[in-house]
Amino acid sequence: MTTEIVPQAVQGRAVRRTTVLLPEPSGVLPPVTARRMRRALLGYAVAWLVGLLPAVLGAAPALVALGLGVVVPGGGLFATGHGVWGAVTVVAFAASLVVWWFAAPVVLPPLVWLAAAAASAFAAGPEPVAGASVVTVAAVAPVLLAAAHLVHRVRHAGQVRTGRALNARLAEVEFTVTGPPALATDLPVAESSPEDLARLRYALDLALQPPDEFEGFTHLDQYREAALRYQLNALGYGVAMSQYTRTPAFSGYLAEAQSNAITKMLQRRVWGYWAKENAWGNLSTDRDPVANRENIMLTGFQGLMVGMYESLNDDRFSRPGGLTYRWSDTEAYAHDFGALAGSIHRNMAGSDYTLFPCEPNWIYSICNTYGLNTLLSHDRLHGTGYAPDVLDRLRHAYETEFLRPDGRIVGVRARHLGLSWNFWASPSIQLNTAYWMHAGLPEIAHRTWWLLRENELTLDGGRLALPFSASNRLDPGDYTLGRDTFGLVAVTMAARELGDEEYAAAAQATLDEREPVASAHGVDRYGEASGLTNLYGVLGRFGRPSGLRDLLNHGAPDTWRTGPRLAAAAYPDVLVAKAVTDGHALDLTLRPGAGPVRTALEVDRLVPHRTYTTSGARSDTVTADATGRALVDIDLGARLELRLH
Amino acid sequence: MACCLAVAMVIAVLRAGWYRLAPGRRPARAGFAPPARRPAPGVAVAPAVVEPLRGSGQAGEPAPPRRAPVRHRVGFALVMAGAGWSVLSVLAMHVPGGAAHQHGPIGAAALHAIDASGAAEAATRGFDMAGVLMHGPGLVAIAVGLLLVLGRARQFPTQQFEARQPAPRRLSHRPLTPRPGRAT
Repeated sequence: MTTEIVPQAVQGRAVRRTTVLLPEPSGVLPPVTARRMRRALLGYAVAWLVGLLPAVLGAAPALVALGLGVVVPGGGLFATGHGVWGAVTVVAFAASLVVWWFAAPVVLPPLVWLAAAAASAFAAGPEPVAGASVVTVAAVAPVLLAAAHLVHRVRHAGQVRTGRALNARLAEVEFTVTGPPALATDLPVAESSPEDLARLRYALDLALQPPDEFEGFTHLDQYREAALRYQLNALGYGVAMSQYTRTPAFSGYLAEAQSNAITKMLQRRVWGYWAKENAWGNLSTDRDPVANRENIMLTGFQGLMVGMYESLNDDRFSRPGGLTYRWSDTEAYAHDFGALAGSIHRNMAGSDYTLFPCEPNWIYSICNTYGLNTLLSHDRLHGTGYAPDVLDRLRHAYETEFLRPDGRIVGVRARHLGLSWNFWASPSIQLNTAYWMHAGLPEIAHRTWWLLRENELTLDGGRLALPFSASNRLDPGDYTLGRDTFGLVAVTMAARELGDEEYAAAAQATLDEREPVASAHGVDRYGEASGLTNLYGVLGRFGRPSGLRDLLNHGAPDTWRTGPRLAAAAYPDVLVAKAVTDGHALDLTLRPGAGPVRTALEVDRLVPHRTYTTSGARSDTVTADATGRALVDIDLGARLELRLH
Repeated sequence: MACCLAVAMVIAVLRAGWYRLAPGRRPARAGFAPPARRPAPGVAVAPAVVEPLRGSGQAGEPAPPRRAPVRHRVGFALVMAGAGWSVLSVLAMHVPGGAAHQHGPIGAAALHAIDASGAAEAATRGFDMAGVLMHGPGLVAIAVGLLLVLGRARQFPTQQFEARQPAPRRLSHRPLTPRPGRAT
């Protein structure tokens, strides 16, 4: 990787121009993964030998069958002639692996395996088990493992060749990594269109319900992508991004919606999954969702929500007990933003992968980007040094353990077994990872986006197409197949964040042109997409180049945090399309959300007792009270620009 | 989000298959939340109000079908699993090397029970324990499942959506009408 730092006059901020090649793999398996696989193989080899001992020693048929059942799932049943039941065992074992993957019950696959072994002992007759059957069962696993290894070597060699070819092209590509933004030029505050506001209202209505109500959310399960927590995460991110890029000088119901989303995460129905997963995944009865070695799917995702909220609003969730996860009237786990960040840092520092699991045992590369983003925002807000402490190790892990030689990110790895699944490395996960990596690992994010653009995405006549595959036509928010809406939304997010507006606009145009829109009471959503996809659509819609990177690394400038602010407005009567301050004046662009209305706005952070001139309001001046607040009366019948200075 | 798209895809495939078999059981896609309201500042009102909007939330759209309760779903799953188990257990008796061939006592009674002579034999000596273990779970699961499903079915249609009334509140504003003047 070569780097050149240049101040760029056009943008007004320093940028870093860099070339990012794919790393040359050191072997067919990355080092930590190879260690884990060797350890797992050793463990299996012991079980294999022990399982064969009864047959070798000429033990009773029942014992031989039991041993062969240990050698391979269903082995004892096959060897004793119960082929159908052996097949049933294989199917059940495969299903148990899927369930293990789904919700981490680590006991399930061994249970199925051993139960079948025990059943084979009971099913064995008095006749001795045929030698050929013993040999066949004993050979299954070694043959399969050898075949898997061979297939992996062949695939790996092909990926290495692809990687080298890509590197020849990447050597000519220069990526631009943005530095700290300059307030005057690099923190653009745009005005939301009526359609933007209608989409934002979808998220606001969801969030502004009472904390224990979840109408309009998808309710399928609390383990995977359709879980409430992921919808709340997306909701919080999208609304926060809208505040950052459109209305940084407006708190009111916008901040309340973010705060509500974070608070809803504290409901047992949202975080209680961990008690179960920790029980059947780690055999532990500890329910604490934060003080543990895993669960970055909560600490990382919610931590990022808090980091975004606190960057733009207040520090309520950093106060002691600000994030209290209540299990019952007598059982609660009092944490705060610092506890979440501390947990992530401790777990990253203590993992030889650096990345650590979501569900027990399962490490997901994208989840750890949320963890890194939590650390970045916490470091900036609270002066900790968590991210720098783990960043180099994290980068190394992403470049070795979680990257294929052809540049595709490995999405999941089993921590104890080292296994992964190649079909997981679909464009959708690359897109999302590129987006969320941009704040902390911008070089990998840019390279990933470039690879996607070159190899996967098709731009034609201002419209964008994803490769036709099942994984690209999955809506993870409610597990439906058939539409690539989620993928296109992910393109709007990643392309916009990484500065490729051409692709972002094409993806948005494709969505606008093709996706049916459902409307109700002034709110719009994609009618054929899940809530999760719609909420990430909000995030993509309100993004801008380096929006996430700027927000997490640099936060809001002091002028935004201290200047006059629109603190309260009626909802949905007053929709705030733009709200910005230069530290002294407040500029608002408002639209009515429920017809013409005469109403009042509350402005705070004014100089106490000072009289301000207004334009666009009913009166020409307003005077702040002793606390720096003032009410401004307006007539809002159409788009209204209001200035207070 | 997108934490584990691959497993989500597996779930999606399984769900798609399941809803092909039982299309009426497909849950409605979540729609809109109830419209939220926040009052204008400076106006004394009741706490935050959310207007009720049942169903998918789309204007004029009927409420989605209520999802079957857990008991109903568990019952249905038990019936399906029991039926599957029973089919497999019968198949296991008939395939070469299956239970009947390998272990007379395990499978023979069950096998014979399905023909006349076997029925007589079974009636004479009854099913042995292994036969019961092989065929019993499926039948028990079907029976329990049916009890759950039918028991719930009798009550299900009588359940009505709970009507939720909006919390009483004062208007946060009045459309373009004069309001009392204030100090500022």
